[in-house]
Amino acid sequence: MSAGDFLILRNDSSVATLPNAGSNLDALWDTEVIDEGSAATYSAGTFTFTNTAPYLIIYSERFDTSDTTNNERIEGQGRLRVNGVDLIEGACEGYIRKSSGDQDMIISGVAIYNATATDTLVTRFYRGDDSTSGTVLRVPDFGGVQIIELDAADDYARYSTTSTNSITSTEASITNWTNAQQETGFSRTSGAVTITTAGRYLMTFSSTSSETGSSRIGGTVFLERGTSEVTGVRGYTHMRGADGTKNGALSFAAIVDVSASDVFTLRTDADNGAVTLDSGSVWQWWKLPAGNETAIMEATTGNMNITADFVWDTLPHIDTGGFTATAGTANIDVDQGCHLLAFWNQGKKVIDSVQRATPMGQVALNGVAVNYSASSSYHRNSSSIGTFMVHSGAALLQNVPAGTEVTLKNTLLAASGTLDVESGHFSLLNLEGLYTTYTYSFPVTITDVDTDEAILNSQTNVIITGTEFEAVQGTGLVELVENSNYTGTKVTQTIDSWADTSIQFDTVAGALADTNCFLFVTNDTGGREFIAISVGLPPETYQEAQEALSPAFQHYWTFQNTYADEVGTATANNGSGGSPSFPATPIVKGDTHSLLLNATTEYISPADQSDMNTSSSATRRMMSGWIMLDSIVQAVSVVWEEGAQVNNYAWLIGFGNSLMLQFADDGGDYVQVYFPVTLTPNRPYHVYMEFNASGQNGGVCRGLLDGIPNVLSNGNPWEVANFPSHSGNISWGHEGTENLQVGDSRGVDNVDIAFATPVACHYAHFISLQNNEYSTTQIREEMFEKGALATATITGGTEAAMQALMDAEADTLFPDYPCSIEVGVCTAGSFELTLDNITFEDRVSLQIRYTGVDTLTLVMENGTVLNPDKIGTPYGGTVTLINAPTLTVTVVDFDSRLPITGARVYMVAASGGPEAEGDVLLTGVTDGSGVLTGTYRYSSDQPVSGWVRKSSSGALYKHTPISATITVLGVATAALMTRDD
Amino acid sequence: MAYRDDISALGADHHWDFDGDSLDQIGSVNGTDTSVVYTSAAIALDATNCVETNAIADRVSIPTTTEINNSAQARKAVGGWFQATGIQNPPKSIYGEGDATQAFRFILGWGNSLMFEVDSASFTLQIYGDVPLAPNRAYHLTMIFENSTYGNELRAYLDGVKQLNAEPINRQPGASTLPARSVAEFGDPAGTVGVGGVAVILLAPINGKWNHWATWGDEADAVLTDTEVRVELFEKGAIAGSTVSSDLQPSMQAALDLLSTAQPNEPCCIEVESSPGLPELTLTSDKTFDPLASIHYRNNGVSETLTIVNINGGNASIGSAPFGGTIIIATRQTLTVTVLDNDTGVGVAGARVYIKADTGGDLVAGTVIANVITNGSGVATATFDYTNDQPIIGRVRKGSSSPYYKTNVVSGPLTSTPLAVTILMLKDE
Repeated sequence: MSAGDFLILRNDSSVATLPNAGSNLDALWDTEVIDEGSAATYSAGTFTFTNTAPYLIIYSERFDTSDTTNNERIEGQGRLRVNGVDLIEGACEGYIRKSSGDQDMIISGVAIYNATATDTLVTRFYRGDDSTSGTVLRVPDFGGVQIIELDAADDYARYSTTSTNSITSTEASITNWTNAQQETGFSRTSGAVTITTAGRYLMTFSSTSSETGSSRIGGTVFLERGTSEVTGVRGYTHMRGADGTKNGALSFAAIVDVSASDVFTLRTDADNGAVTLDSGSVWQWWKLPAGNETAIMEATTGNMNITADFVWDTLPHIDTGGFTATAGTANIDVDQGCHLLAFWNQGKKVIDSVQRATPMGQVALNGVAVNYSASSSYHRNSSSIGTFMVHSGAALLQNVPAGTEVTLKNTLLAASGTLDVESGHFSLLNLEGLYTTYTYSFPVTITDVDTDEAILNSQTNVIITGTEFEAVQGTGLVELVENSNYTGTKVTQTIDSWADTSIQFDTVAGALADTNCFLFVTNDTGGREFIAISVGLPPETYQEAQEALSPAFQHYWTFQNTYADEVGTATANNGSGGSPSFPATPIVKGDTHSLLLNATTEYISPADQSDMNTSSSATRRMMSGWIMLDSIVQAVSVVWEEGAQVNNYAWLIGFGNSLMLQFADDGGDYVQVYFPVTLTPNRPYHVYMEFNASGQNGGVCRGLLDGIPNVLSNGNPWEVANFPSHSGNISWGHEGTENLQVGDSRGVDNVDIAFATPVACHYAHFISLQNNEYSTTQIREEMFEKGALATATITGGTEAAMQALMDAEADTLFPDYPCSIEVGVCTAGSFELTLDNITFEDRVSLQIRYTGVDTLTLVMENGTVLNPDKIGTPYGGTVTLINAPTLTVTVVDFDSRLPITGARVYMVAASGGPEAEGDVLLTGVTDGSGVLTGTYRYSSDQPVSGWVRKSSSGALYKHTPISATITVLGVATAALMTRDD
Repeated sequence: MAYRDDISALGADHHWDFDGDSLDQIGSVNGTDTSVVYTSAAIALDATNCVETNAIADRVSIPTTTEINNSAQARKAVGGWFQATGIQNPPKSIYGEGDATQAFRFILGWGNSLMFEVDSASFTLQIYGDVPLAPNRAYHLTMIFENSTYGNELRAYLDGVKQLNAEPINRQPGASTLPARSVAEFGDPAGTVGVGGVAVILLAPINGKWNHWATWGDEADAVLTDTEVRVELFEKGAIAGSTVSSDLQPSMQAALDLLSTAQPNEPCCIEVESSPGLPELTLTSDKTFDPLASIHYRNNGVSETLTIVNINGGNASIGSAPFGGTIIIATRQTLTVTVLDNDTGVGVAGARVYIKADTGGDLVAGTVIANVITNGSGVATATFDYTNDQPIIGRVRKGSSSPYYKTNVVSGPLTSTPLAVTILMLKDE
């Protein structure tokens, strides 16, 4: 016996055809995820059970077809086939009706099977329909099989029907059971099963079915406790008397929190005609082993036909210590590393507006969907053709680290629109501690890595803090890993020291240099945990980014509570006036301080420098840094100067915070550089000054503000070969004892001015470089974009979490600031965010800064306009902009001109545009104003056609065509409808 | 009325036209010239020459005068035309009264950035020009001071447009009067002066040019209105870059067509004289205007209406009619009505599109805007010269030949976005 052993295989690459009716696909599973123990073996599509024992078997596969022939239907069946015989346990069905984009189905089943050692199991898929249009193929990286051996000592009951059951739109109980196996704690009277002992139980039901008419029929089976439905414990199958899709199958499972002596029945219902459940339908109960830890969430509202983590309303049961969860949220958090079983059903009971929708559910760990867990179902809306819909699934999740957020991620596979869950269930069972074979005795937690989860490619002495690292390293490892599920490239780190709560290591980036990846710690007991980390990316502080610039500069003053020259010896306060200070007012990203000069006589000054003011051989010279003025400075003032009297470089402020750069050589030349904007108070700017002597870059002296070159100067080009020694003070602020001459000394148009120091002015990160230069790209990306303070930050995380943060910025006009929105790194790598009516002041220098290295797609909706020139990706990422203008269809009564509510609009792509003809671009019903709106991802003009109709309720109208063209502005079209009643 | 008379009519106390000399044209406060010349052409109307500084020490000094500098003032206004021939490196004085701490001053610096400054012991008010002054382009500058007994506001105008970028932003002097100051000077100040309350040596612009400067002392006339500054002082005095001379309409249209399509940065780009005997003159314009030009078209007529219709991408938008006429600037639009069969989505040929003006717009109600028949694709087009939103009554019908259709409505109003609508028609057979 080896209860708890399990085996998981999945389909990584097969695109095998699901053949037409009459042939079968006995699936091959090409990738072993994990073989924990010896539950079963696998070879060439056949599993062999190792032991005589009960097994929980979960399987699923996704199929799709590229064929869009309308009015063609696919019925896909799934069976567990043991020793050459199809079981009714785990039978399942998928359905495709090729319209409205419905071209996918996921066939998923779950059941307990009492195996005899050496029994063989094949997972079989086949088609019941008679359609011959197109082909149906497996979708790689979606399906899988999970087999876990259960303990036969646990209480168990299995009931099977002795005859068929006709289920209709009148709810009824299934009563024709026989006790196939009934152990201690269970008793049955007719259709009612009484459970003696309180606890958590796994319940499953499996059946096959058929219909004989031509209607669309959905049959549903659900669990009642007493006379009340147990929310979310429900299954469903869909059939249609066309194209031979007359057969259904369903299996579903759920963890049920049982009180002592609870009485349960299985109830049936159908939405349009009669469904026959085959004889031999199976109802199973398994009492979870002692010490089990479970969490159960339920929902009676919420849209499942959407791409997002589903939010659950209630939390009827949770074992704290094993899980953490809150009602009204999407996630159940795992408190300790473990293997997990997950079960879910999402069902609706009344009509929804979406036609031919196919919602999908997948278990996701920290936002990343598990690639062998999925379920879907088909929904057709109409009171006459179907109202029910449930998709059911289960998954065995291996090696889930502590702290993992487990969610059910929905994805819409076909038409968009709301499908509200009215009976939903999501439950988890922690297998840790139930079976002795598992190794999570000392689960690792990681609290922090290097303070900001960012390290350099070759960084020494990186500190990881956490718990349960174990006192000795033993077999423990610290690794950089490409994927959060511990797959892909792994690079082992060099350990300096190892203790129970901290590890010090030196970074070995290897193939994971300059990426976002995951840092895993594995302890000596096999406990493992990870944390998302950036390697060689924005990890670097702004100072590190500056010090990495090439060519290397000669002087660097960060002014982070220090006057120190970080690369040279020119300490900035060799001389000073007044009381300069370092308030905790950062003006650069990541900073804590800035230098503040707060009086007209304040200044600081380093000693003369041979590569600055006392050099007589400069052919090129640059000085850059961040400044921020607290107000409009009325007196003409010196922000920074080098030299005095007639020979100097100077940054001068005045005339309403107009910034002017001066290059003055008494006997040589004189140039002024101006900027097109005045400096906004309390808004940091990056200023870059560049001197070029004759023969260097055309002798053009220039300045850049926030990395953008100036557009106006007077006196260019410089006409002599270098800049003379100018031994007056180097000073931030004006040193005060010597005037500066403004104007060309070679003529008469000049004047000495006793400048002041601007009040008040902040400074940070000043850099000096002589006889070399930086490119405009370096100035913009490395100096400005990496340091620009942002008004808002979309913190890195899951795509859904980041979208939620972006949604909070909707309808915002971002003010004048260096950067408006910083977008962090997504756990999904490349990702997409939608911006809803987000606009920017013209003077914003950087609208979006993306700090990742992957591709960020920004969808501009509802008036959002992004300027591609103001999108920054200083760490190598890519940003793609998609304009998503609004589509509006307004439907009015031709005679009364009043709006028509509830009219169905169906807009598809016509020929002549980028979309495939027939693609559905907008569908739904009009609101109380007769309006239906949507969005369209615009790339070029797209002709559209379609129709509007209202023929099923209230005032009836004739079918009305629509025709228009979507432009960059979207489309707003009207339809006039005439009555048809 | 000549421009100088317009200035006088505003109640100015003193007026130096600088047309050959610095004599006061209204009072008797004649200027004293230091090295200035009067050889260059005038930079405003109603003068032949202007005064010009061509060295940093050049100036015109105004004798001390109660109405100008030698008294405390609760109200005060100064304005006139100025032009520089290049970007000034050191800061320069265009006009100034006072010293480093008591001042009423127009200053140029930091790339020809313009600053209006008034200083007293209790305040330093600065107003900054929206744009740096372009070399060789005349500008009209005005500054008006009112303490809190009056409007409690310092106002500054560039080409008659109020400038609002200021420190402090409210531009309020409070209760203090402007104390007596040393004499007024155009160009280089003889004494010590300042910027922002700090001593700064200011020089004469090289070269600077002035015409038609006037002052108003502490009296009601000094509180010039926005319209007086814009229309009377700026629009009436601006020299136009081009003139469409009086002639018959076709000849005037031909003359306008000959002008450069791209119009430069000017105080006034094109002035149009009236056409003999024609009370309403309409000209089409394909001109595109520098965004810094202050007047695109000026109607020089005294009672006539000039309508400029933008065509072919023309973007005239700033009109002026300071002499009594009227100017209308319209943009020619193509109205497009596509008529489709509601059931088939196919274009309806031969349908009549009829659009007429409704009440509430510029056009008289009932004026026919379009009366056209759809072509084989169901499309009908018409042109419309848009000035303001125009309510309409629109109908589409096809009732005279089979297939017949019920009448449908074309909704308005016509806006700055050309009408382009699809009208669905129901058969009526």
